[in-house]
Amino acid sequence: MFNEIIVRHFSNPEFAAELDDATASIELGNPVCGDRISVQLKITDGHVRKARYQAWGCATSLAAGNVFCAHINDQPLAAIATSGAAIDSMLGELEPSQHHCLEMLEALFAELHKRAQ
Amino acid sequence: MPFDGYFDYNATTPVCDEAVQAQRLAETEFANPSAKYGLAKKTKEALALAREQVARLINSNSDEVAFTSGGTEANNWAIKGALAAQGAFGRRAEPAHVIVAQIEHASVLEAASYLERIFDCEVTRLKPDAEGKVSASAVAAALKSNTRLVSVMLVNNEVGTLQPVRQIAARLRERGIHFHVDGVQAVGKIPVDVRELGMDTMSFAAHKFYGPKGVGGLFVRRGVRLEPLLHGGGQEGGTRGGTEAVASIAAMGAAAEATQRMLPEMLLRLSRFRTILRGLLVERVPGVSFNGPENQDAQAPNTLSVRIAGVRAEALAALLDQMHGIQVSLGSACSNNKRAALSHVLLAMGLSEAAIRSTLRVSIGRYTREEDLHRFAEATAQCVRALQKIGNGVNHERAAIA
Repeated sequence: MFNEIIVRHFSNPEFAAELDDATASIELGNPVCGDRISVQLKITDGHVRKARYQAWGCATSLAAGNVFCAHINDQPLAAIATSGAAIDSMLGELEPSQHHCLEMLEALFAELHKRAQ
Repeated sequence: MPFDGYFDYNATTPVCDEAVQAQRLAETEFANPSAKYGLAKKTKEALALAREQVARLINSNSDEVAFTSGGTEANNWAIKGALAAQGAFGRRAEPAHVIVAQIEHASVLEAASYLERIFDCEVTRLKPDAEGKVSASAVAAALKSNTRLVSVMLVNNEVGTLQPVRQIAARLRERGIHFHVDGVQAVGKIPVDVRELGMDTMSFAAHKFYGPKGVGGLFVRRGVRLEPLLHGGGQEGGTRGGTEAVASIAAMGAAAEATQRMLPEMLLRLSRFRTILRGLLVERVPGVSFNGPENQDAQAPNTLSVRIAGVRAEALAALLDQMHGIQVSLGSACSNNKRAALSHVLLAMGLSEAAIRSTLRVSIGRYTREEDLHRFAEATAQCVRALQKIGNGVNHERAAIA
């Protein structure tokens, strides 16, 4: 079953789109599940102006892509969460079969911070 | 309509009114059916009636029907009980050879693995063809001098492929090899005549034919010897210990009778519905194709294994459920972080991982109406469009990178 956060994000993925003016992108995959998330970013002056994503995967990974973009869209890089605890709560309570999506979300944040440095 | 979004009749079926009523009536009688006093007359009669009703559904004698807790127990009993009765587990016994199809239910496959692990049995797991069928000649070719048991299902639960049970039975009868058939997905869905099919044992489960969960049974042909799986107080003619679940069994009997009455009409209706549904999906959903037999007479009429190229079925099923209240089953699902759970049936049929991940199992039944098919096709088309919008920019066929 899916928690309310996951349902909300996968049934209305408002950030699912492609960017024409992206300045950076992050691509992630889970080799076991075959899930893929591709995030396109427009970053200027240390600020994520736009974040959009595309994904192929289970419902939870589709939600994870949207959750990621929702958190970073139109945010200064310096204000974006880095702590594990903050990220861990973003997807709500997960079942064991959904945990790989949290790992993907953590990896997305880690990649973003790598780009920011 | 409470079941208008339900497209998972192969997983389980709603309990029919006849079964609910029989269960309520039987629940008011509490006496132990094994008791000798008059108070037990009604529960004894309830069991006898249910045995007759089930026997009529499969065209057996009522003394050939034994009640169990369901299909899993019946499969375990038949397999282990038939081998034990042949002395296959004795210390000095020659290791027995067992043949099962790769597309069997887990209760058969796991029982076979147990035999291999604990009793040194030799197990051959037959691969089906691309349509999900195991041929009688493949079974015959796998036979050895020490083959003691063959287990092949009558209808596969995931793709609905009918297996050539009659032909397999004929080959095995001449060699005196026990032939068990998992009939769980067939009984109540297609006409099943054990006389004509000729197997030695066949399992069935009430909840697949509009009866309650937790009850089922095993057909044991007259003259076939089985050791009990559950040793106990001599119930079921000494073949299965444990006080019978009278109310559930009565409900199963009522469900069997109702199913038998409706089956001819149901077969026609569901065949027509499947054709309609196939047509609607082809018309509205780009990239749709179907797994299983080309010839639809070789498939249970209520089952469609639907593949939608480029769409992850798991996400589609979640959207159908959350947005449209539609329930279907999957060819694969995330199980945990380390292991992919791909359908063993579709793998055995030779489907690629991408194809399996794009497969939905759609199964219809007694309460499906024609308008439900239209709603299903429309909802599917809508969800596929939504997923394509999310996934267009990702090449899912590319090897995943971290």
